[in-house]
Amino acid sequence: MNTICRFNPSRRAFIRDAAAAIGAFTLGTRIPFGPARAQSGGPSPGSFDPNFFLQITSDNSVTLISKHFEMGQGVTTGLATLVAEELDADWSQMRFVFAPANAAIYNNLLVGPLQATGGSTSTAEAFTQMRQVGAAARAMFVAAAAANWHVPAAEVAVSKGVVSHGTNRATFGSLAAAAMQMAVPKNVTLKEPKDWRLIGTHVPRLDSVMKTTGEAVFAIDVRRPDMLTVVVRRPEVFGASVASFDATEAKKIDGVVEVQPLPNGVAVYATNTWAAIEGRKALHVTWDTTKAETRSTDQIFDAYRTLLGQPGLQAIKRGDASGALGKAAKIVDAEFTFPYLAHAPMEPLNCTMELSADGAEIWAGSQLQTIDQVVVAQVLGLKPEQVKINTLLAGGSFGRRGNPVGDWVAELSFASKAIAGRAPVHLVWTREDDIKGGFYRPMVLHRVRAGLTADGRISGWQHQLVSKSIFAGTPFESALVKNGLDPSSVEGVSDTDYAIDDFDVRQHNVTTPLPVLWWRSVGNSHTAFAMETMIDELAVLAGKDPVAFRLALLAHDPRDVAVLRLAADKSEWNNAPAGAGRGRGVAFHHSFGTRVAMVAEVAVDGQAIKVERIISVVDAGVPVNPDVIAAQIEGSIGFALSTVLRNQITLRDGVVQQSNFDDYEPTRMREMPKVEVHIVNSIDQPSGIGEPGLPPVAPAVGNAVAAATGKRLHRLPLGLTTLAG
Amino acid sequence: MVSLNVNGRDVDLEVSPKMPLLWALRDLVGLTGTKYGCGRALCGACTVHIDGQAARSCSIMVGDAVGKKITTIEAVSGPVADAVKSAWQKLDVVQCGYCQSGQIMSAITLLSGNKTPSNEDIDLGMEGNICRCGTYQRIRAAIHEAARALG
Amino acid sequence: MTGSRHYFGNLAKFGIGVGALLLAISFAVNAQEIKPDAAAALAAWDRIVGVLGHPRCLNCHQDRIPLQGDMRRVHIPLVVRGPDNHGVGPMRCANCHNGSGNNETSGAPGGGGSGVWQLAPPSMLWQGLSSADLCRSLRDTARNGGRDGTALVGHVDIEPLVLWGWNPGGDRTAVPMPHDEFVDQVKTWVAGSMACPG
Repeated sequence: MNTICRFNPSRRAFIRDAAAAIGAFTLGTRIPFGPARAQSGGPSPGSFDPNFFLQITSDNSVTLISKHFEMGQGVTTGLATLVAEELDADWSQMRFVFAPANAAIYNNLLVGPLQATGGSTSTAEAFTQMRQVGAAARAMFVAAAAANWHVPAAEVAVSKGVVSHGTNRATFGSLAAAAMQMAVPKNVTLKEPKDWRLIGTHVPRLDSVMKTTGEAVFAIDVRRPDMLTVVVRRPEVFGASVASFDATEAKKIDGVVEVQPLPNGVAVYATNTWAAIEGRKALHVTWDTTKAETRSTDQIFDAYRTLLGQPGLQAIKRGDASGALGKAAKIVDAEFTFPYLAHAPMEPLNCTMELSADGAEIWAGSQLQTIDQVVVAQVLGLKPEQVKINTLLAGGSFGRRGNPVGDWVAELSFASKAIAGRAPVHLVWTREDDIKGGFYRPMVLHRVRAGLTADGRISGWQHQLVSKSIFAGTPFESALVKNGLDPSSVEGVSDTDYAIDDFDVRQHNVTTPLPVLWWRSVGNSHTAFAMETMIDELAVLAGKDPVAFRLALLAHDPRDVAVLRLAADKSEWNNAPAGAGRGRGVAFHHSFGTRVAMVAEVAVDGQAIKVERIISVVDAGVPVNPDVIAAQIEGSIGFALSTVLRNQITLRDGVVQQSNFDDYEPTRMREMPKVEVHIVNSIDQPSGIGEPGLPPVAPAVGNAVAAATGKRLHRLPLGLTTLAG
Repeated sequence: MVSLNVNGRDVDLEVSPKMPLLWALRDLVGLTGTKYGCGRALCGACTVHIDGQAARSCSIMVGDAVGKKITTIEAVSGPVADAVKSAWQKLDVVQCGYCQSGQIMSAITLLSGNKTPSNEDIDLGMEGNICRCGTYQRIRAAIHEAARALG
Repeated sequence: MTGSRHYFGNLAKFGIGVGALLLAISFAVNAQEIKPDAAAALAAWDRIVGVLGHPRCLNCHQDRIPLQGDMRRVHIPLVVRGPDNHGVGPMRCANCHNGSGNNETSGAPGGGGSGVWQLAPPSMLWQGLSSADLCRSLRDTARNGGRDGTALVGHVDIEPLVLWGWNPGGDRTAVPMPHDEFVDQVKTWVAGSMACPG
């Protein structure tokens, strides 16, 4: 799902295979659309029946039924903007609720049939559909008004939520009941971009007020009558299982009512969260570690290195890289290492279930609703349609809440089943559980060899990557992993925009019981650093300006060139920063259909790196909500910076060494650089923004550090420790 | 029996005096606007006001909050609170929003004690409030905006 | 504890009396003669300085930013002294540190009563001082909070933030010397005119 960076017809194969692998999706009572039409360059068509996507009530509020889940990326505002534009609603009328789980109706049109939010696909997949919903609803209001007033529909006007003809006026609210009875038009006409009033402007986020008053309800806030809060003791090493446990002391803790073994640990049930946490502290558990990962980080990287030089899996091969390298005048040979990274959303994982003979109802910040439905159904022996999912706001995800194997909802199901559903179960992960809980961005090693001709052009590029596959062993494997190669392991390298004629990319898979998962921008989170650092290093070795060197390699793609040129322009690239220990670095990356260039300005003082400013340019196609785009770029920088400077999940004898926000410390306010965002005003199809801002951050900073110090760092975190200021 | 005063109401709880105020508020008093992020006073998501001053409810034991006025995000009020919330909304500070109750409670204390905070004051005052979504630039701008609005 | 205060009270009277006598004698004999209680005081100081340099003490006798833990890392989240030694704005000490004692759930140490937790005053900055300088700093009434010998002993005997060093909670190592032994060392040092090395 997260491998999409261009639209192409082969997407159809993925849709079919994924559906087959996952099992039947739930059918709604209405299936208004026919089989998907093969379409080059875009999502398949979806239903635009407003009855599925809008609630318009007599109080004149227009509520979007959002198929996408809001984790802060602004998608509910985005979808509502698209609907409101074509509906001609007033922005102040707009609201949102989350849709129920239904892969037929609430399908992600790029990756479906799945109800899924992720891969930076939401705006791209819903751009046409949501406008069609708005246009269809508008037509239905017009038809209802025309019927009421006995006037031709063509003469009825709609503006800011008011329908009018001559002296006749009616609000959406007053017409809603009648309008939704009208026939849904088979075809709708969408506005020309020049007529847009909302798309491309700053509309206030729909979730701003609720999130500043304490009214916003997150899944961790769900309270059900007689609910038991559960925390699970999981093993310290991955792949271990419970050998024995003694709950005697745990059960003495005030508020603890139950202790039960689960397949992956021991669950403590209590009447409040603190009691559950204290109860778990008093548990005694012994573990069978025979199948566990017990290596340390250094040993794991050493094991990775032994795979280099083996044939591996060919990701891409063009020209003759080895020959070109043989003729090269100069060569850069580098090894890059990247640690495990935790997602660490501010709201730790949690979910709530009520289980009965008829089915299960869940409250969760669910990112892959129809997969979660199937996972729960499998554990509980239910049909998927017996599993009701209430999606709530999530306090961040960065990919953690979208787990194709649904680990957290599976755990919830086992916990409910263990007490035969006699009480609602509210499963909570503590921060320690979260930092230590696995499903990390994989640990990765790159080995790159690139050559230059005497006049400074690239002459051969050999690239090997070593990591565990994210999709192997998940429902997405059959659709995505071909001949063992997981495309997310190499994305950003194998599909690089750089015109490298003699190019050989190979990937080596490793196995470990430690589970891995996509982490905001997935493979791009490490490949962009390797590519942009190598390119920068080659430019310097060639005696060429880093921007000019890149422009020459991207010359075939005008949108790439435009973004990079604008970044150079806005950062006044040709004026070098003054002062010792100061430097600037540039990075460009194209992922999830979106092009981003960044120029970072740093000051280095001994071991401390201070990132002072980042100028960013982004081309995400039509900017539906420019302020949301800017926020996502700012946020990507805030999120990524601590991984550039210090974050890593390390193992000693298989035990994760980090536990909370002191030893896995996110970026702090005082470290945040000044961020300037320039958005290319495009009329191309919108692409994603949740993830594309992240990959260029690390290399822009790393290249700036190299410029400031002459030291080229080939690892993340950069290794000049901690924060300055 | 621990007696607390929360948002102007007296609440009696049959709990150990060592219970973190955070869980008393969220699980027993029914106020979930104050959030759990780390449980170790590292992230600030749990920030409430005790006698008008920012305090980390995950680290304050209920016994230490007896006899004091506890205010949560749901009830915080006054010109500073209003200015902060308005600025937050005007600048669309929030993304996921989970840290923002704590950010706002801290910002209110910051501005209540310092009407014209410098960027350095903001850095030090807001240091303890983590935002994984990276809204820091807008938080800073919103604090300046609120200060401006308060004159 | 009560016993040692009682003992101290008697010793103080005794010590003052002896001290006065010795002072009188010293005028009468060679000034270079080493007094036996000064030697004991220096030996006691040698043991005292080890306690003062222990993380439980030194972590808060810092210039601007407290340290944490046996590993003495910079306090996370970053906090600073502020004008009244109690932090600034939303980051004041009592915002996380309880007056009633250590919080074993959050890991935040505490004690001393409501609002007491703080950095030691700037005059009591010990970081980076040599043993000799630290000794002179401790007996300097301009820098030790205006305390004479009696008050110094009282301070280490009953001051809650001092006592905390012996009951720090979590996995923090307590001060390795038993508390009453430490108090005795301070008394010996005071009795020996707070003799300092070098």
